[in-house]
Amino acid sequence: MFEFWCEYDINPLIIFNQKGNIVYCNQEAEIFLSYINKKEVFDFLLKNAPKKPSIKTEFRKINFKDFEFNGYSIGYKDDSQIGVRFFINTDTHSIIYLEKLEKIDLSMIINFTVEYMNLKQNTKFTVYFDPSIPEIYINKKAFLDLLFEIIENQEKVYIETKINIGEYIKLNQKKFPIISVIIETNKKKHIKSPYFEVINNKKGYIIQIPLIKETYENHNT
Amino acid sequence: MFLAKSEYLQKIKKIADMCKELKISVYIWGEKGVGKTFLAKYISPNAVINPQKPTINPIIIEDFDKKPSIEFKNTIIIATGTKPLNKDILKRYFTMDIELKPLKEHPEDIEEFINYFLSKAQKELKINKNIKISDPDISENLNSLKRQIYQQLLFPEKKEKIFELLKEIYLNNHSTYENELKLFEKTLFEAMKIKYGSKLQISERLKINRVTLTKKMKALNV
Repeated sequence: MFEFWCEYDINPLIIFNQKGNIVYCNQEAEIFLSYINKKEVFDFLLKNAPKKPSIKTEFRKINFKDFEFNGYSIGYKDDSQIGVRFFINTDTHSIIYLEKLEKIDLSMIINFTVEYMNLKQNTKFTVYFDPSIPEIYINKKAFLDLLFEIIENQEKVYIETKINIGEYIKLNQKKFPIISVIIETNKKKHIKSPYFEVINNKKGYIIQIPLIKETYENHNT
Repeated sequence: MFLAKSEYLQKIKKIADMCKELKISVYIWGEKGVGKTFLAKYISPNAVINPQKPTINPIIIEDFDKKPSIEFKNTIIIATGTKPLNKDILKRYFTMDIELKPLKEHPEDIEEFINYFLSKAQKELKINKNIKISDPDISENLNSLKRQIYQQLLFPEKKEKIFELLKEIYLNNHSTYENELKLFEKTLFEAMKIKYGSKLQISERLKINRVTLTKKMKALNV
């Protein structure tokens, strides 16, 4: 009866047996486990499990590669099974506003950022641009603000753009492919934007931009 | 026409070209006479400068730092000022700021500017005179340089013309006979001192007694 609710929960739920094999995992956990080794997760469980049979819940930032969680619940009844439920970080899944969209060549914006930042400061840039990215609708000011904020006072910056194959983002009931702008720098601050999804990782930042090609998609309802 | 000989101005030009294409709101700041309004017009050629009524065109606002608020909601706003804006205000109204450095920091461009202003002035004033500016006045950057060029170009060549000008001045105001003569003598002696150096030579050339000359120069503090 509860399996349906567990299966479609947005927080990953994984249950291991005593040997570290997976007994059950829900759909969200399946995506998670396709990126992260189960042994890594099992080790984390053993390290953080409560001392007596019960459920221990803790709220703190946990990172598994690009996955970031706000907390976890680890619990067991007996020695045969141990389960974990990670709480997803709702920060990174914020509402993305589609406002003031203008059609623009992304490569030009990035070139412009490089030129402008070179005038203001001495930064060494390495830029790889995916030429298959078409002109897209984007909030130019918000994007430039974000780039300036990331690159400000950096000595070395690596920028790469690409279209994420097979990944989509749903906005206003429509599906859009995702363009990733990967910026590797000496990460100094946590950056958030109401207009783009920004993944903060160890190497730097990944800005995810919905690939909006047509004008009729240019509205925010 | 955008003059850019130095690497610095070439960079600015490149950025300005990109701003033009991307249609970005910019705040340009720098000292007096570095060409802020010129750059603003370059970025947005059909903009209205300091508009009084709402307009659909892009707008250019001068001296924005003195009154940092915008009455009209235009998509492209280009503003100029002498001081950098604080970060919040900058972010609210503009995407970025460009600092224009004073001429003394990129002196390679001075010669280009002199040639440009000179040919412009010659055309405007219909004067076919060639002047040489050995000591460019960049105290107020391009403003003072331009002023200096026009001044030199309009400088009367004949002594008679100067006396005519002097006549105009005397019509407006004058001091006593003695003072006016003193001023004239002082100017003459100062010029001679630069030209000939020694008092002996000056006295010979001006056909004046050397002792008298020395006395006069001393009295006039030359």
